[in-house]
Amino acid sequence: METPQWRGWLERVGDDWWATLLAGVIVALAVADALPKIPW
Amino acid sequence: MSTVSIDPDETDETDEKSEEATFTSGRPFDYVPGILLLIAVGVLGKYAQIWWNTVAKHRHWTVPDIEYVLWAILIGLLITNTVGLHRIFRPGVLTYQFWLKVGIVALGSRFVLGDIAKLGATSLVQILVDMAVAGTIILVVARAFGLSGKLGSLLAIGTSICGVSAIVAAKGAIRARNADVSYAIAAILALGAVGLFALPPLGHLIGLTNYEFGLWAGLAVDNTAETTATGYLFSDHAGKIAVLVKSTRNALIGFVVLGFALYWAARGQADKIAPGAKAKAAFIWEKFPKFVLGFLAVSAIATAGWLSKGQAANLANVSKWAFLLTFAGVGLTTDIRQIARTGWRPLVVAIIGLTVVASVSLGLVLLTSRVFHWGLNT
Repeated sequence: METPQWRGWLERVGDDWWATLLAGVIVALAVADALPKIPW
Repeated sequence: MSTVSIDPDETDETDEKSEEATFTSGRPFDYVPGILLLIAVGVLGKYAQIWWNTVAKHRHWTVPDIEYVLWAILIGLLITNTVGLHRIFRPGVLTYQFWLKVGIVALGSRFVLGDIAKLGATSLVQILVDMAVAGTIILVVARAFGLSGKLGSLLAIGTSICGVSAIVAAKGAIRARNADVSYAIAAILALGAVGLFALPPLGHLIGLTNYEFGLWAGLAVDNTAETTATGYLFSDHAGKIAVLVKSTRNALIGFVVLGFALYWAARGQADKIAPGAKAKAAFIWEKFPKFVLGFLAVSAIATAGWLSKGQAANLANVSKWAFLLTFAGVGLTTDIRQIARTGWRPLVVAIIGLTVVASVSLGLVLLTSRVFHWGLNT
């Protein structure tokens, strides 16, 4: 079966970039006060 | 660290994936059980600390304040080395490297760019001296123990830069044998485990300040997750310094791997790097850890004063929770039996390596901090 184009693109981006982009999203959510408040 | 199962005889590309990949499955639901386990172990570690302190206070015991970092690692270790880690948890547990990156990116808000530049520059000098001295000694020791030249190179790369990531990055570039890669990773993992438990009490014994210990952990411990844990085991402030120093070390990964790749290519034992500065710059960029850019971006935003007190507090909270999941992952992926099975030679080289790296970097830290008075006023 042929790999869909989007899947190939996702794989080309690489783990390191993905982790960094996802980290950026989490940080942006924290700045926007959109994450649940879990006290430390 | 990621103590993954590696059979020296295995020879395929999937090794690389299992050694380093953060996202090992294409199906999002595969991550759920492991991430829940990370959360459970982390929260249990946090509550174990509270419980321990309460019991000790109640019974008037004089006991060390066993940090949540240590509890989370110990609980994880206990699970993996007794009942074992079922494969259903594996994809989620391996995301601990991702949580580490989230924690580091969020930690950017706690540093102004000026401090990063200052500490980055001073630690860069220390890293270069440490790399040169410790790297040379490790190459000599590896040769004395009859290890192959490429295994010696991998050990030197792993101890001077960033452990498993650097070894995996160098694997293809110097065309190392899989057996050598497995041995080098086992040695680095053993070294990291010893460092994690040995350095914090030693730091207290020597009377290091938070800044000095953070610097020492950042220079001496090889895998970023363990560096972070070692720093935070000493104190919060030491943990932050350790992360910053280690990120500077990580940023150098491309240069070091390129150096070794050129060395082995010149001997006809690795693929030639394309000539020209552009090709070499592309090689360095490919190996560059991209999360360092996220850390710098968040720090730039904080330095510009664009974060309110509440937002900065939110980021500090995210960083702490993300690190907690990382520490749980460090414990859950450390299989002591696997390290022991690898054989005595990498372990001996690892112990010698740890002693050399820890001594050289401690000497550098004390020299620069107490004689030259380099450092941050934080």
